[in-house]
Amino acid sequence: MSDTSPTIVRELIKKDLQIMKVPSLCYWLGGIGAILLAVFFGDAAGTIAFILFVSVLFGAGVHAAMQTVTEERREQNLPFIMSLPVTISDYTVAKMSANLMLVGTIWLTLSAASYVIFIGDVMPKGTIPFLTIILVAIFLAYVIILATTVVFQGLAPAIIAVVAANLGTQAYIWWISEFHDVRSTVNGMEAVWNNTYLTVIGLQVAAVCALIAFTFYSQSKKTEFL
Amino acid sequence: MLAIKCSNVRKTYPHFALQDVNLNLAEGTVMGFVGPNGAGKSTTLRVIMGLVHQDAGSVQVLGHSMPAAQRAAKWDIGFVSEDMRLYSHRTLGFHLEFLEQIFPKWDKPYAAELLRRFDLNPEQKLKGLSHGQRVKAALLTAFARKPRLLVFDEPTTGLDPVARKLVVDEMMRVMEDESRSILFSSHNTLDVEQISDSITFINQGEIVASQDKESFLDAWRRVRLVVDDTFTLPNCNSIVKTQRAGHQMVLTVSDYNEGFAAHLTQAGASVTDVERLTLEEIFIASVEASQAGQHAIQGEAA
Repeated sequence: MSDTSPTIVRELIKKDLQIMKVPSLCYWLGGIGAILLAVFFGDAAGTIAFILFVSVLFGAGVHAAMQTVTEERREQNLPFIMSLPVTISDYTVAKMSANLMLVGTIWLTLSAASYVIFIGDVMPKGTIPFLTIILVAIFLAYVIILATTVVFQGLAPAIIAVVAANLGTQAYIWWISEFHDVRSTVNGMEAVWNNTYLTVIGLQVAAVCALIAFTFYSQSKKTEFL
Repeated sequence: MLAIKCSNVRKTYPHFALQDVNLNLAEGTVMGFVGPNGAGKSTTLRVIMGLVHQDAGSVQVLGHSMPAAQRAAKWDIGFVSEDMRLYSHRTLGFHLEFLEQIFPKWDKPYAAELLRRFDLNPEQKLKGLSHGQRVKAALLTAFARKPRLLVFDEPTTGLDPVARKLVVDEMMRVMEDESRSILFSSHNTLDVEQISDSITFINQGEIVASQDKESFLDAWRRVRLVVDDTFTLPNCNSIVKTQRAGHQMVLTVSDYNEGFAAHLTQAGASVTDVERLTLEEIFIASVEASQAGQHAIQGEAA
């Protein structure tokens, strides 16, 4: 993707960040609220806090991808963008960058903040590797949705991707939780980073990278863009 | 020098194909691109913009090969299509600032002047604008880039007569700078007739005629005849349409000249009237002729 125009790409990214500024802040505050709920109300609100936290991370990703990609096409803004001195490559770089920056920032800061629940004895520290798997899986689900919206553009594929990513992630997490190496360590007092955890996390990160690469490849093959 | 040169452009879809489109737009001129719905106007303009890649043929825009060099070309192109919408939840000012950051040649005083002339409020969100205002806003974003080439796909569709005149006037004002060119598609042949230097008709993916406006208007005639029962119409390629009611006959002719009437008189007809056609009538006759499989017009399609 060296054949891009940095100036225009920067402006396109800035535009998307500006459009998503307020919703992103709301999601971020929601995530912080969920963490505080877990910290201050412990076991009593733990499940609610977890559901809220996961929903916020998932919702931020879905909202960003749908708003900046699917809505842009549905609302017929794409001809306006493509009338600018941009190529499909520029568009793809801008969309992927804006989304990954936006959701990546929310995901990274909230993920980092979520480890606060392990200070003290609120949660057993053995859960840390499993929580990391969950967090990376949520990001992977987001990248699946983003790749689908960018490549297919339409509303129907986006909705299918959201449903599939949501259900698939839940099934996937349940499946991972049944692994012996996970079950035997998840409730321990210390975090154990065994090979199973590291392999699963490594595969998830590889899948994220592969999906991003696939998106750029697919876009580069398009001969029609409106 | 040519602002646009399309040579043997083809693009095939399952139910539609552009077939060997040849289209030349000279720099400093306005071309009206006319065709019925589904004729291939938008597809052709998208190919010219590099947004749809042709299957075969070459497209040169401002000296740049499309679609490969579309970024370089689009610095100097203002493109507005009928299906283009600005961001409905943002103000017009948001769009203008966005474009100002991108285009070094962005003319802020001119944009302000257009805002006043088009009666647009930069503080207003696009969702609050009428259709006509939204079209004018989109056109403003193209005009103020000060491009060498404007490509408009149905720019006046849905506009009231006052708004349409404003837009057409602005297009004419743009052409005061002789280095600038406009290619615009339209159903409205009045607009096309008003500002175009040349006109291209497209039907079913094929260019059926491409000529300068005056040649078009000069070449086409409606000839009214009175004939007797034994009259046989001489074989002539330029007769596009024949209507007969009793002894009255009306011919639509695509390549009229002085000798034509004399030829008919020699054949036994009495020519009662020879009328010029409006562009709309020429357009309809061309399309009908094209659909009938005739090569009605021997215009310079290249």
